[in-house]
Amino acid sequence: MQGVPQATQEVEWIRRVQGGEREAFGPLVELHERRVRSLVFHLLRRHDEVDDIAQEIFFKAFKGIGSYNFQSSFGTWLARIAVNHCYDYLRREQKARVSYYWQFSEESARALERAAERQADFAVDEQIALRDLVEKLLEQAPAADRIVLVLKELEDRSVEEIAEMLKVRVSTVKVRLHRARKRMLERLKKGRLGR
Amino acid sequence: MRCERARETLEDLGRAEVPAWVREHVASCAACQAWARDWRLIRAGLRLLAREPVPGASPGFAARLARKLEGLAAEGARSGEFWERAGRQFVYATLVLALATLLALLLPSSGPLRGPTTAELYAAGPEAVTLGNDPIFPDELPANPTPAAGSLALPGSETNQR
Repeated sequence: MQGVPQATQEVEWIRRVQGGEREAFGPLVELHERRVRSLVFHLLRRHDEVDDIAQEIFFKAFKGIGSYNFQSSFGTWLARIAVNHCYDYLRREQKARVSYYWQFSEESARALERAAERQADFAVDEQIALRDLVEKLLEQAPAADRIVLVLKELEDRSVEEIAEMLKVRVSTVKVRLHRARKRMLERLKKGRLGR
Repeated sequence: MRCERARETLEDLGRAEVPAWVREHVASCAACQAWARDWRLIRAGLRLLAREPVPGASPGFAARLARKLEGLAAEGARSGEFWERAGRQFVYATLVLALATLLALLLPSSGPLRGPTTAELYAAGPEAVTLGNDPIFPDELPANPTPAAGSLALPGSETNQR
């Protein structure tokens, strides 16, 4: 099933679920599970919780499917539910988390800078250090920054898609992205100054 | 201003080629060189994170979700029954109340179906009020219901003393 036939089939499943046929929700889950799972994983970075959170998202979607009016694609509608759910999770987590000051080691910082300056591919150990560094920077980002950054940079969504998902204007997404990147760079600088 | 524009262009580039004017500016601006190096680091790190494999669904994911949805459907049915029952009781109570109000409005204010009104009793005089409204001690009423001067005795207090 690809393209238009799949979309038609999807509409039929949605209408059947809206009509009270619970079984028709199964194929919808199957169709969108990977995307939802990826979004949850990238936003929360919790390997062990992806399953439970994805379940909660599909449960919410099932409860709210009556309000889906086909104005946006079902995938976008579902992603909006996922983003909101993860946003709440991040806010709760950030409130509970003890913030700590971090620095990256002088050695790894220099190695990474050299690699970035020569604009070449990073070696395996550099990749690990870089991955950890950016993961930490993302972890420290406010929930709203993390969401736009993840949607754009990790999920590879267009600004138009993000705008539809977050129910804001395209220009607002661009501004938020710019600010989120700027704050991330500032945190990187802070980490480096601390060494 | 040029720095800000060059940085915004670099941010939005993605995998596209860096425009010549941005390359020239960055080459001549130390601050933008540092910025570009940091941005390359972050972007490379973000790409590495994006490439990480997403954990697959655990066995029984679909079955667990189906059970959860079944639970929701059962809960919905239970809550539907509750509201139906509550609604039915509310309708009955309203009907009874409406009937009582209707009866109260339809019945004549006096006559064989209803005793004399308080206003009528007061108009008839103090004896009529006392005798007509005191069915508890009808035999113990004094011949003269007006108490003697200085006496505070009431018919009820005599009974209590006994």
